Amino acid sequence: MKVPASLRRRLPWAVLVVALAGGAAGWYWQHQHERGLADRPMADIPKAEYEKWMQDLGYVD
Amino acid sequence: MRSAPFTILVIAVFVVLLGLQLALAHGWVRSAPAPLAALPSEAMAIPPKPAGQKPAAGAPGEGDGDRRLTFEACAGMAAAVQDVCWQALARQQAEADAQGALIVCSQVVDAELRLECVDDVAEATTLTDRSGAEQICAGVQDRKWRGQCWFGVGLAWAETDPDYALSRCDHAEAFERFCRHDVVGEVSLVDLDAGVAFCTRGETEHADDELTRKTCWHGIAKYLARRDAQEAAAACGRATERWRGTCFHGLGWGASERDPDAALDACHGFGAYADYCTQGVAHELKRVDPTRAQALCEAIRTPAVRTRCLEFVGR
Repeated sequence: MKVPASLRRRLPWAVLVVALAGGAAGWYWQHQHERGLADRPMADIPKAEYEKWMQDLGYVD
Repeated sequence: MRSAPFTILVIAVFVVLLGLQLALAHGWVRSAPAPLAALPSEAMAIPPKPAGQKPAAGAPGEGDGDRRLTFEACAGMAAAVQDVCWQALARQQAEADAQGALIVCSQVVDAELRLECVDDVAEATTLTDRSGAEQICAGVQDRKWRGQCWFGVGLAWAETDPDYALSRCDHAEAFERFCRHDVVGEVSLVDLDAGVAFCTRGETEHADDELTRKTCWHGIAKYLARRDAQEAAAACGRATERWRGTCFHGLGWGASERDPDAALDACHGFGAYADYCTQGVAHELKRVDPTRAQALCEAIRTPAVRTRCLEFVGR
């Protein structure tokens, strides 16, 4: 199958944009994941994780 | 080589991103203190100190009540201790001049310490200027430090206005339950009936929130046990039956902070709740003596309590 020349020219740019967008999304996800529990809205903290946090600090059994 | 510009662009982007990542990872990117003129009238925030924490010996402005810090003295200090000095100076002048204290906080270079400094000012100010402290806390942009700010303000009011104190916890973000635990604990030290009333009321007001109900009774026992384990046990006798084990866990934890051996002696006298109390001691000891904590858990007779105890010390 012959790829049109116009598409061949644009392909590297498309790959670059997708790679940058993917990198940015990955970085954001990692950043969010690494945030401490206290930095997150309550709705974003899983109940089990929150309870473990309270246990570790001696706020519940 | 028509693709040369594109290749150069890719490499350049890669190098920039790599450099940025390295800079962030190594903390090379630091935020500078806000200029004095740009300080908003309502500011940022801090976290409450762990209960019982003593001022750091030798830190500027700490433990030497006769020495008064000045702006000039802090400005002339070595960079390594300057942030600590600004914090101490802000605390020193917060009650008399909150806005001046916030300006001092704006000099702190470390972002976390700067927010802590602002929280300190709110906490120190609230008893004399309630709305001023509320403005300070509400103005904190960082979620964690805003929560800590309300937490600190709540604790400051626990003895004199328990209802207002507890209501501050509603703003404490992720610290809400921690705040309720500590405020109710502090309230119980001066008015146990009020503390018990909070927890009893919570049984209906927070009927769908088990953690909030549990931590309430836990707070009462932990705070009282730091003073007297028997007094805490009497309070646990007033707890909703479902949370009595939780209450004795708090008792064990609180008593252990003061004296683990005395705590264990006390636990042995609590009959059906002795194991919950021992679990509390073991959990508290995990931080300082995990081997002993493990042994204590293994000696617990009630299977369910032993399992939970071992799970906690083993993780």
